[in-house]
Amino acid sequence: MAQDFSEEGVKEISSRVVFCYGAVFVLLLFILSRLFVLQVVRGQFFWIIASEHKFKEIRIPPPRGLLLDRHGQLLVENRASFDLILIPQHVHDWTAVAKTLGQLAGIPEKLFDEVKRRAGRQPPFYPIRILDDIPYEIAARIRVHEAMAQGGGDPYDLRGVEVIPKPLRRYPDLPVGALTLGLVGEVSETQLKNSPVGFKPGDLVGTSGIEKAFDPVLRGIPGTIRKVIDARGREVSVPEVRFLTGVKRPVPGKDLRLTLDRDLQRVAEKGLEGRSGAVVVLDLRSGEVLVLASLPSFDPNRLAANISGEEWKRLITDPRKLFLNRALQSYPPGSTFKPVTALAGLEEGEVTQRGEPPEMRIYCPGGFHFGGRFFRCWQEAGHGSVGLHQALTASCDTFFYQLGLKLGVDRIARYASLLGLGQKTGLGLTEEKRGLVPTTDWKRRTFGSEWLPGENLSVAVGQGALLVTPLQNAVMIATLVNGGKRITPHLIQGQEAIPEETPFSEDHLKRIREALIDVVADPSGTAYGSRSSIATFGGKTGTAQVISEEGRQRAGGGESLKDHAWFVAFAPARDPEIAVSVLVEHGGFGASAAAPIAKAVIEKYAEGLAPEGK
Amino acid sequence: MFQQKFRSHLHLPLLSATGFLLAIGILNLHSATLDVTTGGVSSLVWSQIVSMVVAGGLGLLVLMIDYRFFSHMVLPFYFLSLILLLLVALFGKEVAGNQNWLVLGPLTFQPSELAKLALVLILARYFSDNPAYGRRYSLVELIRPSLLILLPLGLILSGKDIGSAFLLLVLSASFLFFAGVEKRVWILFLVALIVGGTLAYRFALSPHQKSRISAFLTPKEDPKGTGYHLMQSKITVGSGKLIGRGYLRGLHSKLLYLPEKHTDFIFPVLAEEWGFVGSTVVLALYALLLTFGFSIASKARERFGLFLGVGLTLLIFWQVAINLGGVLGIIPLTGVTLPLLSYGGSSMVSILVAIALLLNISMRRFIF
Repeated sequence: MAQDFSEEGVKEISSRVVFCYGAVFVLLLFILSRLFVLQVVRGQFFWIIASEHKFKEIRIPPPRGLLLDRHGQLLVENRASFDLILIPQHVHDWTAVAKTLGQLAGIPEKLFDEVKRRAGRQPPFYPIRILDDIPYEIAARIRVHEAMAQGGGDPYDLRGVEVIPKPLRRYPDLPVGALTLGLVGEVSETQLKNSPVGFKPGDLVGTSGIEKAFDPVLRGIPGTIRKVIDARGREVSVPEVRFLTGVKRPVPGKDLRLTLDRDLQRVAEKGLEGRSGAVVVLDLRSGEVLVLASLPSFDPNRLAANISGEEWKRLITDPRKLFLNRALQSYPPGSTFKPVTALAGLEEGEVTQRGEPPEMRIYCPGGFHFGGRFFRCWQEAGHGSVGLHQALTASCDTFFYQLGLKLGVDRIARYASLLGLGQKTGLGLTEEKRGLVPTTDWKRRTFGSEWLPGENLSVAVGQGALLVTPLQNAVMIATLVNGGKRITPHLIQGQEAIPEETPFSEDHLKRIREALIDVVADPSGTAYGSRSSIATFGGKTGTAQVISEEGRQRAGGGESLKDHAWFVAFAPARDPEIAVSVLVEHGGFGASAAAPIAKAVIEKYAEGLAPEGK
Repeated sequence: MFQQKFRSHLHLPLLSATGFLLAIGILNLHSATLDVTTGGVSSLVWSQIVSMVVAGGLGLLVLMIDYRFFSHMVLPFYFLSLILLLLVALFGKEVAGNQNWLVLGPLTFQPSELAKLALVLILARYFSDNPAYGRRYSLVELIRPSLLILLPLGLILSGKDIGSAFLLLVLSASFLFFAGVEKRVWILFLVALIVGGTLAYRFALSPHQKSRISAFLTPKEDPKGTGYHLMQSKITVGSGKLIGRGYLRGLHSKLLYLPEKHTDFIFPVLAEEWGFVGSTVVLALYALLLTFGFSIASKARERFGLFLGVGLTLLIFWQVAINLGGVLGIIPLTGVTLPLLSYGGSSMVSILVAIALLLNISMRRFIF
């Protein structure tokens, strides 16, 4: 055994241990400094990188608020639908995913290639919708395979694929008020850019009608599911990671109790069936909108689901203009404007000669010569001698030509404005038109020319440049018969505004109301044919020219040039509760085309008032 | 007699540092092997505890025999390790591109772990037997020890275990330099290293090993491919930040982003959960362990004990340095386990036996 215990042999070498130790220590310090750089200096950077890998955030759309009618009946509800989406970031194997989706969901390769192309053009964490509103069976199949997925061995690769629930609108079996309720659609590019709410692509917002006007209330707040995924792209959902998997439940939108009456609305729409037009019914005391109907429209259930691009194109290019809410569009009011002229005449003392009898009476020979032109009365035979009452009841144009001449357009316009015409009613729907009440000033500003006296005649009978929406006409008639309170129509219960008081004399208003009652009740009235055995009502017919009689004949007649038919009404006659405004585009005579629809609505309303109907 | 000596002469600080590292190792291994989808303690933890007990028992056995007795056993031990290496090169089981596992019935073990110990022992014996009083070893004098080194090195390389080969190389080199060599040898060694390294990279390394080296040189070029392991390792370590995510909360490792997390990549698991603070504590424990190792060696009363003490301490040091250097991206990843922390029975046995030998040297410095 060659043991060496000599001082020399051991000392010499043992002194070298220090150098060795020093070298080791320096290397350890080097490792420590590397740790410091990775964990402290660049720790935040790596931490962020680590976080990016692990989480998958999926937005859960909130259910929109329901829309209920005044009696709590469903107008719009939600149904569950499922979207098939893909998050490019989490896809591991595009070919395998394409194959899996082909097998499980029947996605053609062409569609998947398109998805893949889109994936290349946006950030990898942006979800791409492959299909909207997939059948429940496919949704279930994909969910089940996702849940079963284990390791790399299973034949289906669904990494990056998600099935997310999305509440879609559903309408009852016989949907009503499609145009008024409005539609829901994907948020637009501009909304994405400008909205402070923080929309994400694919979010649903109201795009028309009540859905649009009250979108902030109905919309709700989206939730998110934050899932933890492992390196293989599989979801991990065990207690150990639960502190990281946040689920923020979506906040559903608020339900809205509308003032609409579903049954009444249905009657109105039935009346309009086969024609183009609108019906508005207001509670003339509160301004609640009971009916806001417009036809033609579309089946909202078809639009809430997936429709083909072709079908959509066919709908929006339909010549009948299916997406136009006619209750809010403006039309020449025709004779329904005569009560306005009458009120102006009474208030301005042009009918009663400064309050003193004798009253204005004229002789109607079937028209009126003015300025070298013959202004025709609709009754070619003439009305004979007529006063204000008869002029309204029988709708004598000649009387109003002369009254209009006396008043002049500006005085008429003042009363039209006081009755709510030429301005938005305050309903709140963005589709609402302002209409137009011309004045001399308006003509100067718009055309740069002076008002011609002959134009006063046209305006007095509701022609010329005048434009009124069916809704405005309902407000107008309501104000005339409710004691001069101009109500603000509204669609949401409890949003009643204090009506605006008008300076009209009660006596004048009463005279007009009596005349309007006789329009229906008196055999000489233009709507006598539409009188009802069930309900009493007053009203005014209107037949608005779309084009002058000469022009029409030159164009060879034709449906699109036929006059618009109007009827504005109130019921019951003596103690009115509702105002009704009916417009039928190119319907011909107001008395025959529009009044029967109003009658049907009023009778339905009266039925609801009867004790057994409650 | 033994009992008394055992108590009075046992190097308690070294034993404590070892104990702490073993305890941390078990806790960390539990975290590393925790299956987040099922939970519960992994069987690997139990298996590691069994390894510890077996290795500890072996260590105790080593402790009871005077270490100088082993100086007689170095040759048989060395040749046994060579035979095993030869067997593994011929019939070994391949794991992750390395053919370094030997299957003996129900047991599998890595002869390379045994070879490391055997090499340290035989080199200690050689240099203690051949003193160079007052001068340095010349090139000629180093031919025999070089042969002793190259035999196992060649066998290990033929098994494509680049990690162990690299470890043997730096271990032997540092050992020779500690023994003292002439300046010419230094220069020759550096030249040989560069030429040999280049040739090895060109002709001897498998694609698997080459890719690991190129991944080290340019990790960002293909983060999901070859550079993936290194990138994920750095992300895991870095995301621990100063104080870490907390025990069992190191998700980057849990969610399988980190490969081989219970063996080669055990340290990132710890670094992610305990942050820079925890990593420093572990590093300090290693530093202490090495300090005690060197101090024991320097206090040895005869040459064999001295060389053996330094050799064993260097063995532990290089494993720590190569493993940490690899996972922290200082040097290429080579697949060397982290002493006391990595999962693995062979490694556990070789390290605990090494520590037992150090304790043995320390305990018997008073008997002369």
